[in-house]
Amino acid sequence: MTASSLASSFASEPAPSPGSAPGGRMGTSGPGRLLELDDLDVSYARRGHAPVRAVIGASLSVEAGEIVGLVGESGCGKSTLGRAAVGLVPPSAGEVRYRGERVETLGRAARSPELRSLQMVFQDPYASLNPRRRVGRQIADAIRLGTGAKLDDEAATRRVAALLERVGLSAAVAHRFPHEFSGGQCQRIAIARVLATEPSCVVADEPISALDASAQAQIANLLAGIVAESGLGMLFISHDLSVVRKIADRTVVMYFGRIVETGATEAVWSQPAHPYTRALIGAIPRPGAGSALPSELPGDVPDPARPPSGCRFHPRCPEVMERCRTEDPVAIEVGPGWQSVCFRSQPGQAAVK
Amino acid sequence: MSTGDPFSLEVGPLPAQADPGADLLTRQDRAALRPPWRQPLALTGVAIIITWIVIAIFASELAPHPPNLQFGPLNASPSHAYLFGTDEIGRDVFSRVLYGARLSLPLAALLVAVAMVIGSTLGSVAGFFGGIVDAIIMRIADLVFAFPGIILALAVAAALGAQLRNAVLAVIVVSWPSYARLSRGLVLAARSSEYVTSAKLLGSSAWRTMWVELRPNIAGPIFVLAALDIGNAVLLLSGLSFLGLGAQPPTAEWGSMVSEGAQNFSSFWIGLFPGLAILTVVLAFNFVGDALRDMLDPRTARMIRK
Repeated sequence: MTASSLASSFASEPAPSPGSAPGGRMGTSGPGRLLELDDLDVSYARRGHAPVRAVIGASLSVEAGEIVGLVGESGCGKSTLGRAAVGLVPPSAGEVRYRGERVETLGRAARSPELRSLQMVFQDPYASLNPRRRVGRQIADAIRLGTGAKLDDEAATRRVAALLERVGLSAAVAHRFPHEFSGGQCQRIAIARVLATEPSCVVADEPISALDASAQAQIANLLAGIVAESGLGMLFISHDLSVVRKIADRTVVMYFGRIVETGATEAVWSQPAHPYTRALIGAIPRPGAGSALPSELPGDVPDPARPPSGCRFHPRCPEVMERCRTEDPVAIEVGPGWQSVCFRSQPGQAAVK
Repeated sequence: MSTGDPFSLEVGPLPAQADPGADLLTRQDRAALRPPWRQPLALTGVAIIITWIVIAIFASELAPHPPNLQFGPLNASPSHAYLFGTDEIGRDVFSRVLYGARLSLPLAALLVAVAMVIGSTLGSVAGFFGGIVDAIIMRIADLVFAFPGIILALAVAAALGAQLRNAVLAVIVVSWPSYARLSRGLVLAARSSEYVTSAKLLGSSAWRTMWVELRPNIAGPIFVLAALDIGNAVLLLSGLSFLGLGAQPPTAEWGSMVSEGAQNFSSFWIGLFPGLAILTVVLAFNFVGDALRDMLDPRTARMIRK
């Protein structure tokens, strides 16, 4: 699958124009802002215990045509954030807006048609496809449900074929069942199903983590190509930093429920402002680094039920100060569009050395 | 996977499934997965069922006499002329047993089908919606489960009046809860799966999700339960007739024939042969049902306790 073949298969598709959404609200939401998370809190209630706050005060936005990479360790709340962003998990505070409208949490009623262009790609491609239905039918249903188009069978077959080819599969596989495919192929089908709804915004929750190495790169390239050509916005959640570095326009770093650093990917990578970001980047094994092992963070992610006082990162922070133990840091604008939640960060200064 | 497709560029093994241990086959599982021709009991069951179906279809051609014709000697023992003997008013027991297949088999199949549709619909709704809907449906099911099947069926049939149609209704009343319980469990397990979540994100309504997405995934175990249940239904229906609450004389129905035989104990053949007919049908359906259950995924098979 090359970019040019993607482009040609896209040429026949009317690319959704998210910026010109009818009834787009003025005010806080800019014209290109598709998805906004505003001071979002997500808590999980537990019987007999204090609720676990999986996401705390998270604010981020995804604009049309950009990939926002969300990285962090396992259990840091990035998947919960992604699920809340599409309305699968109810926020306990704050809100999620899509094209300026509040994203209602999915209940028993069918999802409102305005929200159906906000879609999700799941981690496990086998689990996200119905094992007992032919993939072509699943994609055809997505076209009908997602776009509200009344298609006869012949038109649906043509659209399904176009979508399958768009994700790099043969149109002839439409009559097969998901178990007849490899993980990478299943993920392509899941992506085709999402594209069938003509989405404006896609939350990709660890879409490549369950795949083998060669499929990972292909799927990441496919997603990046789709964003480049159709202009949709994507929140790309991954713990694979090297992939995020390669495809994301902006990077959001999460630690233990909190967003600790946000900025343009290149800037964050070249001069990480937050000590946690530095530690994460330092933990990537590099070829040519001799026998040196990647630097590791001391300790483990704390027990979510008993979060540390002050800055949530302080027990593991190599640059901890007295203040960090008691006070909660706020976001510092270290550069244009670049924020770090750390006491050592200085406004306007790219990084604290 | 054909070669030459553009997706043959996928290399490497499939990614590991979530729980590799769950897919390990134990020795028993492998025995259960043997092809049908290596499962003698299942084959026997299928043969017996086919035989009875053929008998039911061609009863009028196969039977030497009409079922209700009183023509022969009274209480004649089995002989060349009267294969299974004659009953106390001179009817040919052999002919009556053959005609009995025309009642028991289709009625059992019909009532199992109706109980399956009602039970699995109610159970799926309970499992999918949960909450108060679930509580109401499943408490009613529990209420039915609390009685021994035949006792409740007796009460229902007696309340509705002694008729074959009412006996069928009574058996449906006692049979649907097992389908409800099974399908509720299957829906509960499936409704939180990601393919259901994906469908809801696409805008699928609750009913569409249940019918289009869930139904094909829960149908297998429910059909197995139905296969196991047909034998049970034959037995219950005959039992009600035996007790005088089902088929009424002179209808040639196995249960009521056994009942007549029980009143003429010296002429054992009057009750023995219809009894054997019931036995073979019930055994055959149980053999087939067991084999089908074993062929199911061992994890879901455990949910069908019969």
